[in-house]
Amino acid sequence: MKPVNIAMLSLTHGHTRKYFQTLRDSPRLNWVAACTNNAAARSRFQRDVPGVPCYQTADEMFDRHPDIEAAVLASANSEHWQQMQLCARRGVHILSMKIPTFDLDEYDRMTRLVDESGVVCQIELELYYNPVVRRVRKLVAEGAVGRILSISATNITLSPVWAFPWQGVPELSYGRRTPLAPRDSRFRGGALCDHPHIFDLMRRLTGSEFRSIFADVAPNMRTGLEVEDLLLANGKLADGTTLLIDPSWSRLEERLPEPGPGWEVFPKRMEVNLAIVGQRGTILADCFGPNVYHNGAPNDRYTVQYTYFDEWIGLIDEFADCIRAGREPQVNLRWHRPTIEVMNACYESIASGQPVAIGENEVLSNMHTEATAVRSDAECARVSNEVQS
Amino acid sequence: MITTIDDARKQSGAGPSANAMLARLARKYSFAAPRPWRLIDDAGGASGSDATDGGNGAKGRLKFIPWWLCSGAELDQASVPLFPWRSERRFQELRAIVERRTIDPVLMCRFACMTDGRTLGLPAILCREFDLLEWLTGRCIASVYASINGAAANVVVRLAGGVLGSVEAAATLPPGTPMDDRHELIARRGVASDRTVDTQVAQSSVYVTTAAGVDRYTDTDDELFGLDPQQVALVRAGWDALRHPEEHAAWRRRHERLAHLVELAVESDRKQQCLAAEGEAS
Repeated sequence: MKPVNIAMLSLTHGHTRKYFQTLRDSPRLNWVAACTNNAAARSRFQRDVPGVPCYQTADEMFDRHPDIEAAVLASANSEHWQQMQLCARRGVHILSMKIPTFDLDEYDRMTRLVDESGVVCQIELELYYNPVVRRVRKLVAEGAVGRILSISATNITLSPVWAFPWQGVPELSYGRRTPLAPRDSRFRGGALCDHPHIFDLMRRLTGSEFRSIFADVAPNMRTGLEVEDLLLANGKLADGTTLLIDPSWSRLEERLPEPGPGWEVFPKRMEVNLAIVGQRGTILADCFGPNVYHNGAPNDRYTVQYTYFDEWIGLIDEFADCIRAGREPQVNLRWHRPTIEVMNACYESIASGQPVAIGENEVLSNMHTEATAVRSDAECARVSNEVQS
Repeated sequence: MITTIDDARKQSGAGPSANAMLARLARKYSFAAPRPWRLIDDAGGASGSDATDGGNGAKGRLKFIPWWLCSGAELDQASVPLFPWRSERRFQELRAIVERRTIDPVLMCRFACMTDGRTLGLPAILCREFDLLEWLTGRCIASVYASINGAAANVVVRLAGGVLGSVEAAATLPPGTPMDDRHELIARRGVASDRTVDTQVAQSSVYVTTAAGVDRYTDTDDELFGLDPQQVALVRAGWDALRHPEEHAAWRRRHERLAHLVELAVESDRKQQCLAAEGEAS
């Protein structure tokens, strides 16, 4: 397969560094250029990725490199729409960060834009390519625990706002300045906006959509933040599955301007754990563990050293394959919309103090979901093979 | 195959009953109860009742009853509900960590408990976790939103002062599976938990690997050696009840409040509403 000529825009998203190695190492990509108007981001890029030119503006980059076929929009959520328009105009395929936008009108304009321009648009939900998640999906698809009664999921991390300040600015993260609730001085745009993965995973594991959601916030751990950092949500899917979701920034961090060793105050900087209760058994899964541990430099604190990360390889492989084969990615704009809807519903619930009913979509027929009803042996084998491959 | 000492004790039928162990404690410390008493246990409560210290017949006898055996009952003056989890060392340590402000202020609690449903069914799990939420934080539950599906429930509560809490509960484990639980208190300064970082299930003190599999043991109380942790907690709760009759009335009120909170959770799920809780923690 001919490598895809790729570029990166903005370089201000928290996942930017994850791509540095992947874009260089992937035999399916040819990293052509990057652009950012952020001086600190450019300086780090030039330090970490020598040999790849970095421009001040996207227009300049695209003009100088008309061979660019695809772009990673490594930018604040508020920039995605403008950057998508720019890419679509030039016929450049798009790898969007996990939140294209929270504004559903804008979201629908994005979908139409992608349809009309014919470019591939993949949403970056790297958990799809996590091997533990793959094992869990396989187990569920095989009916290992029978029909699912309950799923709880954590996606808890430290807060990235000190290194990526836009994540603490409501307008840049959520898209506008909307108070969390009456008499609450905080605004939408914090931890919830950082953690769509587990909402998506619940849909994907069950093949069912959210039917109701309740969410509430605690007082902030970080008193200076304008946005929420601790929250919980529970509710139900259309198939009756009961849910518990913790998308908090509940792990304290050193306020480093750039992520690196010594970032953690709590020993483990990130956790995605699942408890899936079925009629015939229970699955407990740690999507990023176990790991190795140390109490060495720089702070001599006991620290979980993340050990197994390769999600970005699968994510990039799929993106490149979709571009070359003209296929639609698993996480495309249409698939992802209900996840954005339920995250917005969480904010509505926080504002009202009551649960929010969501849509009337019944069990999905999307080809990428694994139904939870106990399957026939033949069906289990088929789904298992699909997951395995 | 991993078994626990609890499984082994039940399989062999060996080991003293909780009631007998409580009587032994009373004798050891020369404790003379003012009234006859009996510790009801999971076996139905008959074990050793009249042979125990103070066992002078059924009339006027105090009955110490773990909450899960009297959850739906109206209690008379002779019945004393026990909350054995409060006697577990790990919870006492967590409570002390909060009280001493080792972590401070507590902002969010994440609790989970899964059982096989035999001793602790779903209502009893909710009761236990609601009690722990209030007892560990020293704050009342102010509102409840529950999402229940069969023997599984996910509950989000708000405690006084805006503290947020979750309870993940399921009584769906296969019969004979030991209880699996986890309690985490998140504060502006520090996090406290009864599970170590980067693990998902409880660790044990002793693991024995043989051709027959892996046996694991967690012995937490030398004075009550041979009992599993849940039984130790039950005996310790009974011991507290024996020594502190002045607390019995408060515990009966506590019993009523917990029943109210569990009913509120069920009603919340039925109505699909977040409901306000009444009353105060004790």
